[in-house]
Amino acid sequence: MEDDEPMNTTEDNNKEALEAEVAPALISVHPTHHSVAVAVGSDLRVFDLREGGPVKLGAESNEVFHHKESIRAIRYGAKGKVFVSAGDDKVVKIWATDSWRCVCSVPTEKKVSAVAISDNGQFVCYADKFGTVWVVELDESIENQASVQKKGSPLLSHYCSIITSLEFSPDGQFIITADRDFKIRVTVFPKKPLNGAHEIQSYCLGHTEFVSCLAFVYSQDCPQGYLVSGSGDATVRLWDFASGLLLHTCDVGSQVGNKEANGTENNHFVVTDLCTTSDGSSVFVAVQSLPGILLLSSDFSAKTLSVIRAVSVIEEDFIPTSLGTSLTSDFLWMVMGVSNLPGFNVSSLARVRVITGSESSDNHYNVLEDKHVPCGEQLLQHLQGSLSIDKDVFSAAAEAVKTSMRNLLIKKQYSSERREFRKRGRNDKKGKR
Amino acid sequence: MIGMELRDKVTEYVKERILALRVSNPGQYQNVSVVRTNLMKYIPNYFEKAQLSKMFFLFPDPHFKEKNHRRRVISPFLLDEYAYVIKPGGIIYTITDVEELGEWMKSCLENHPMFESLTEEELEADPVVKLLSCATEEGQKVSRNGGQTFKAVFRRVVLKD
Repeated sequence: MEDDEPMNTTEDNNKEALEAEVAPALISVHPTHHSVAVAVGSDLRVFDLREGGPVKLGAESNEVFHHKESIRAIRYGAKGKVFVSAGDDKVVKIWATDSWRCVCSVPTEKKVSAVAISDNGQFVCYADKFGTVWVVELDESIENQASVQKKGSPLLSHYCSIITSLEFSPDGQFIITADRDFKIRVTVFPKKPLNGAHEIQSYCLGHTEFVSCLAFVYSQDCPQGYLVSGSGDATVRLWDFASGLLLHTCDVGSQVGNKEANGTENNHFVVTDLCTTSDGSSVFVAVQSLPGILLLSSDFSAKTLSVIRAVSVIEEDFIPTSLGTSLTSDFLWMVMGVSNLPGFNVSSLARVRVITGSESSDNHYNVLEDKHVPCGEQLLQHLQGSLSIDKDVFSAAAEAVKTSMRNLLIKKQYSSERREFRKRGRNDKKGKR
Repeated sequence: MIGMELRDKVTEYVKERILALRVSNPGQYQNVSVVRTNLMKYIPNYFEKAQLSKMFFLFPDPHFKEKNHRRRVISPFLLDEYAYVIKPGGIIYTITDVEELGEWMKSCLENHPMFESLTEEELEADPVVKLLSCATEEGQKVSRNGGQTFKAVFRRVVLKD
């Protein structure tokens, strides 16, 4: 893919920088459905599903607890007791979910791109845009403490690559890291992670573009489970992660292509997020340019993934930027949104939709109307920031997210002339060494 | 035996040398080649787990500035990857004429739980060790200029709990 533009001016560089600042909205659901969290830009919004009201974060203390710049990763962990948020302001915030106090802050050197929490809540891992994964150890009874600051220790690194996703295996034995250089690494998570995770178990190699998301499918019969990965190459792949073996490749791009009128380039159908059901039977897939989601079925004995259906959102051009499920309910939560949208008077947008149902129910899946969403319009008002969304802002948002992801994760190809021009400032030219 | 080099020109040069050796020694040097690649990113794409018996890092780029230390070819993180492709018992050989880099590489290897140093006797007994400083053009250049070299030779061991 040759780039024939004229030499980069400062204006072009600034425009690129602005586009890169656009941050997609994120959603995460408490494992037993106590609450739902949405992050848009630097704004973290949590709604308590049991009380039926919005959560005021850090209400019990006077500290400054808001993120100052875009949040890039959020997650519940330790069976819902802990919540982590991190991003461009270079601070990982760890929250106790019963009081929603920020019990721990971890300053980081670089912007954070992904977070993961060990099952027992003892360790929080976070990855930065230079490819290094760090770990902090949480004290046992985090809820009762005053807020502490901790420093992370290096755990492992992907050389000069952005880590897009970080996950623990279902049994907690391994930590999986995916990067923008098409690689997935499976590393043994040691008993003393503060000394580093040095033993690589395997690599899952096969994707032909950046890997964007990871998830696991596992069941009672197959507790180890398999790894599912989504990528910019428009495929979702199934892996036996302990051996690195590719079990099945599901070409999502060709499925979407049939439905999309204007699928121009090949890399249009980037998989942006994945979510699995608690019984491991289904995988929900969010694809760039596809309103709604694709539903994949996972077959443990055949070791395959197949596209069952697309669940469309009819009234709106709703293309999710993030998906979330809990272990105990049938709701798939989706958010579409973006922050720092240039050129509009509303600088951020978030729209939450919920799909409910299952393969076994009569109608399969329904996209819920606003009034039928759990806690209804009160929830939507809080998590979205407003009840009504402008349609123009919607399509601009989808474009902005697509562009920023492409700029971040796809390596630019330059003509050799332009490449030489870009190298003009270097001092290690051919003559030397 | 395969050479993995980032720079196009150097790769071309090594390729020409190998082809010349094959011509002047018919039937020989069929087990030597070179590939242009970034091994720091893609080594697992080329080799399976525990496939290699030896790795050589000969006069690597010192990356003097502190901010570039993470680009050095021997680093605590990259040693995880080298440990993955080298089989237990396999050996890493490093040599440099830059003292600070020599200390850095030795210290990274010493601190890594999956590598242990060869003993003096083992170094004496290994015929490859002597070749590190004299068998390559860079090594010969260093000794012509009367420079000192710094070696670190370590064995890949199984991680102990």
